[in-house]
Amino acid sequence: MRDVFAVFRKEMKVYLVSPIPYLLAAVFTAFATYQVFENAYFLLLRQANLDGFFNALPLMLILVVPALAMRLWSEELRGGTFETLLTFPVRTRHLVLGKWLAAWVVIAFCLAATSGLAITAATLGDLDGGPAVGGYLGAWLMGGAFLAAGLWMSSLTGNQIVAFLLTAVVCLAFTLVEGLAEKVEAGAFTAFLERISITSHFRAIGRGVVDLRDIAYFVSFIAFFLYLNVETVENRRCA
Amino acid sequence: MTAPDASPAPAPAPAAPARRADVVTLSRVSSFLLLAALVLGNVALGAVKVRFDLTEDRIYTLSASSRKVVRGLSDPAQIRVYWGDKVPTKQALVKLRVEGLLDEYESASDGRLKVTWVDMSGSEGKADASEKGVPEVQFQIFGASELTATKDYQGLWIQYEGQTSVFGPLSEVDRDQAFQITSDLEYRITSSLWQMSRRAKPVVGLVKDAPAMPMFMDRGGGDRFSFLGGERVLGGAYKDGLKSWLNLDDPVPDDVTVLVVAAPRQWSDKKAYHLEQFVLRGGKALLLLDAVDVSTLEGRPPSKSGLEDWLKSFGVDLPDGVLADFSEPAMGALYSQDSLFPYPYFVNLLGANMDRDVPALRGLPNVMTFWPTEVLVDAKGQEAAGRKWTPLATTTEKGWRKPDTTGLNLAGVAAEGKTLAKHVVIGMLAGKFTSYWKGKPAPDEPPPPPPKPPEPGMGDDAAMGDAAMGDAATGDAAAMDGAAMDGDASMGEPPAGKPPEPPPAPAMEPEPAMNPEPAMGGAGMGEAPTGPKGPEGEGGDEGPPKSTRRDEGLGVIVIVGDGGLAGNEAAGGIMAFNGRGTGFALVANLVDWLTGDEDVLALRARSAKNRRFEEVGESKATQIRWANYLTAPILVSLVGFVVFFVRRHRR
Repeated sequence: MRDVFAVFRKEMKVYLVSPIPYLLAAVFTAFATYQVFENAYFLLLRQANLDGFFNALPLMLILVVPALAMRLWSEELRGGTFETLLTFPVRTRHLVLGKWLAAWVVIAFCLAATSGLAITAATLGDLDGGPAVGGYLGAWLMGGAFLAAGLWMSSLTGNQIVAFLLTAVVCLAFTLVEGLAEKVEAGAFTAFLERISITSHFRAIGRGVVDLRDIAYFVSFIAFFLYLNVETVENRRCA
Repeated sequence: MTAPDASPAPAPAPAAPARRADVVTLSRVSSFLLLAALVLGNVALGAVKVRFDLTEDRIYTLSASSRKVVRGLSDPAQIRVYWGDKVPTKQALVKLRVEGLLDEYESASDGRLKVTWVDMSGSEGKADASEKGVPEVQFQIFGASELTATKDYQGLWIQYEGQTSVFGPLSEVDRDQAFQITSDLEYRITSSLWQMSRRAKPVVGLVKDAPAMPMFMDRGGGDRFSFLGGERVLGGAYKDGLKSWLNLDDPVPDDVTVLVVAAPRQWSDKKAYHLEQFVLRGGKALLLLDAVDVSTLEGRPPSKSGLEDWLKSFGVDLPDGVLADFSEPAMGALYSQDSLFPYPYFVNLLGANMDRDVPALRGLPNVMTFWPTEVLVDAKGQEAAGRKWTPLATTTEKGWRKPDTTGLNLAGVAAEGKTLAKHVVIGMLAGKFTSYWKGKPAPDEPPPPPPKPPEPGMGDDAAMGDAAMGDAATGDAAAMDGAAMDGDASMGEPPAGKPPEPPPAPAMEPEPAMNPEPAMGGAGMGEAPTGPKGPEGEGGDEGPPKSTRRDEGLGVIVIVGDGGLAGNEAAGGIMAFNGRGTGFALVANLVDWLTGDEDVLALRARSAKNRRFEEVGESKATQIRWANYLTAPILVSLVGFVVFFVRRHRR
């Protein structure tokens, strides 16, 4: 764990001096504010909740997370520092976990930047804290899941644009799976699609109920893609 | 001599591609195995039910009341769930919630309750559903280029001790057109179990003498009033314990404990008398008075219930006119001349203006009323009369009583120039009541026989007949002195001759069911005394027949200044836009409360609260908007600058 923390600290130092997290947070917040006030008619409908924000959140994360994840390995591969990195006395899985954790903190920072919306809703009306907390928790977990997928995509290619697009496609696929389930005839297959859809688990937590099964889904999703990432990096090491 | 052999060829280099292939293959296999393990792990975790409900009212968690009811089951119960395979997949979350809810019921029952999901893929499941009366629900599926409709079963069948209960559907559409579990599902399951397991069952009577509205009229009014939805809601809770459409030309049946009177119209004295006798015997009456409705908008005078004088005798005044509320959250909307405009005479009774200590109103978000009448009572006068008056719901401080009912169809009614205050729309009167007909012949009694000529030697104080007592009203006299009320001038004169001594009032026994009762004050609600018996006279048991008439008793009357809130019209059409049938929930809540079943009552209002906030002015809205757009980016940038300069300083 010490190695994980060392990698995490190194990555956080890079983020702190880089404009990326601040720019991402500003853009994310602006987009969230636009979504709430202009698309969800928050002041017209006058409902003290964050439904308008959370409904649009999956698509917002699909734009932001690939932008964050695309440089994580691609930059190392492109810049030639990948091999140097692999010579460090750090296990690959600690490298992967450290990078992912640091990027996950940046996503938390972006989500925290939107807390003004929650404060506004709570000030104007009687905001139910449960769905708000559940929504942010679900958003953070979903962001972590997309990030894990993006981290793996980034390790597959040295081209950041390609990494961005691959990540966006994978995240979109898991988001749209629920819509596909609605179009096919009900049965075991649709039940399967519902279970693997990331948005159905996000919405389940977002209503304010934290179910162990939904947490297990996100943890499994993250674990699987992080493992693929580890294997990819290991294969590169051996090549 | 031959040349020596050349040195042996060097050993071939290791097969690098083969080794790499091994690593890659191993990697792929391990990834696949991990995926399989994670999937299996998730499937196994599906059986583990650990969840934390963070919502304010814990609306997704089985309530303590439901747990208490299922734990109290003495015999095994079963729930069979019929979820057709043609139910659209959009309802997958609903199904998950139903599963979760029923899992909690099972866990809470300690094995007394078993839940079975019936396999609906084959014809057996469908036949079973049909046989048990599970409703077939129509679903519409929006495809890419067409709209199709399908029907399938969706409901629950509950069985306990040979009794059964069936209901469905299990989903409804919310305001965002998304499917959600029906908000009263837990209530319906628990109330069914409670009904079936309860030993002493309450009986609820419904009275409505105004004929129903024509089916496609959605605006109510006139001599007609539809309360079928209310019957359905109450029938679902009380089943055989609901006696609907009683006629109060006859006395209220003895087993009825709660009586709902919906929109009485021009009641005769006889009907009012039977209602009064019901209250005096300890009954609880819920009066939905519907004086003003849409026909008044069209110029018709307000309807008279026929109970005005009777209520006035208890100090309850229903002044002419109609209430309005100029507070924005409390104002409804009216559709007229192709546009919707704010209409203050549709008064939304807000949760903040309801007595939340009363279980019936706890958790009820708000209730829309349509042209309500004020209920005016002098609380101090009531205390002197041995009763307690509890206002249950009022307008906001911006309420106003229009003294007449003209011009109700005009738009642009403003608050300027009007005296605004809170006005009571719903209230409860509980305690000792004295008959309005005390000392007078009862409206349903035959005229007393002519007095027998006195036999020689009998005194003037001989027995004179039966029940008429002759003492003027006593306790209610104090209640008449209040400023808002007329004096009780209508009590009859005592009969001629010296009246016999009234018998002593029998002792009042407290009724155990109503707890807690902060609204009741110190007054217990005992069994109503039997009516005063006619004096025996010399002939003892040869005297005239005894009357069961009551002249006094302890009872409860809940008065609602609007019947439209519970009319079918309130659940459909323009009124539904305003209230979405919240009045049915109010009526059902009040009935449950009056039957004393607080455990079941606590379940009713379990849907998410309406969290609408007050309208924001345009300049304030702009400020809020720009504050949100700018604050976070500025703060984030500031954080970045601070970090930058701190790190630069450290270097």
